Amino acid sequence: MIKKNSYSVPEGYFDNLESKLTAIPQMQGSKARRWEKISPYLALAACFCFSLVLGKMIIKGGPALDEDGSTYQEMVYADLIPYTEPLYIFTSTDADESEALSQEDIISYLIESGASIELIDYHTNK
Amino acid sequence: MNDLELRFNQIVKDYKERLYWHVRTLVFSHEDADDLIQEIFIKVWNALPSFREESNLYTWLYRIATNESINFLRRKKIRAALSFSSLTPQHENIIDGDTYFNGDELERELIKAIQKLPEKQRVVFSLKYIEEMTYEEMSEILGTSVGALKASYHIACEKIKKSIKLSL
Repeated sequence: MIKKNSYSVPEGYFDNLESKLTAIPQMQGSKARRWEKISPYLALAACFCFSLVLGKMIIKGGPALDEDGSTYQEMVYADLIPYTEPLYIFTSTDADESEALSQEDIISYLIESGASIELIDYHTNK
Repeated sequence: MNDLELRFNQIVKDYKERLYWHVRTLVFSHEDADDLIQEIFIKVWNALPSFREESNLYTWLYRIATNESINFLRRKKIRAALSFSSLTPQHENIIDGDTYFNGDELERELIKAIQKLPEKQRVVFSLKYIEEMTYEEMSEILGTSVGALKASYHIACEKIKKSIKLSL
């Protein structure tokens, strides 16, 4: 049977080991201490987020309406119709002639949005 | 020095030797045990704030040490597999070249046979045979049922017998 006395360790090993192991807290730092350090910053960030949410709720709760309600309508449409929606850009009949996008606008949009060369070609030759 | 550090230092004082020998019976080589014991105490230090007093400190420490040793053996096996080297000669060299092993030839053969076992069987065998733990203690540390441990120990014994017969 193998007994533990079949093994040995270098002389004074356990004394050295104790000093190495007791140095771990200094080397590693305490998680608790780290938490103590960052908790005031986290509390500050939480307060900031809370005040943002509160502010947004107050603003949403009572939007100032124009007499003809145009601002309100504008806000409603801003939410409903994303202006970046390509389908809307091409099919909208409400769009004013002066506000309609030119061919160049469409091509530069396609280039910027990383569309395929075939699609860009298609619109260039349209 | 805060309370946590005082508590950690007391654990180091009380358990360093017991944990070292526990790890040594699992990995055999002094160099490996020395590296591992430091990693284990780093884990203990990091986990100490979340340690619940109602759990048994001894079981908690032994569980950390055992899991770290199993992971170490697994990593070693993977490293050996990745370097396309056979495990057996490498292990044999470790025990043959270990200056801190004073066992006789039969003990040396036994260690070589243990090293050929899969990690979990090896741990079960070492805890039962070398550390002479009860199945109940082992069950608490390994989180495995007593029945499964008995079966695992039996299989390990059979493999070791076969391995020693072949080598003699």
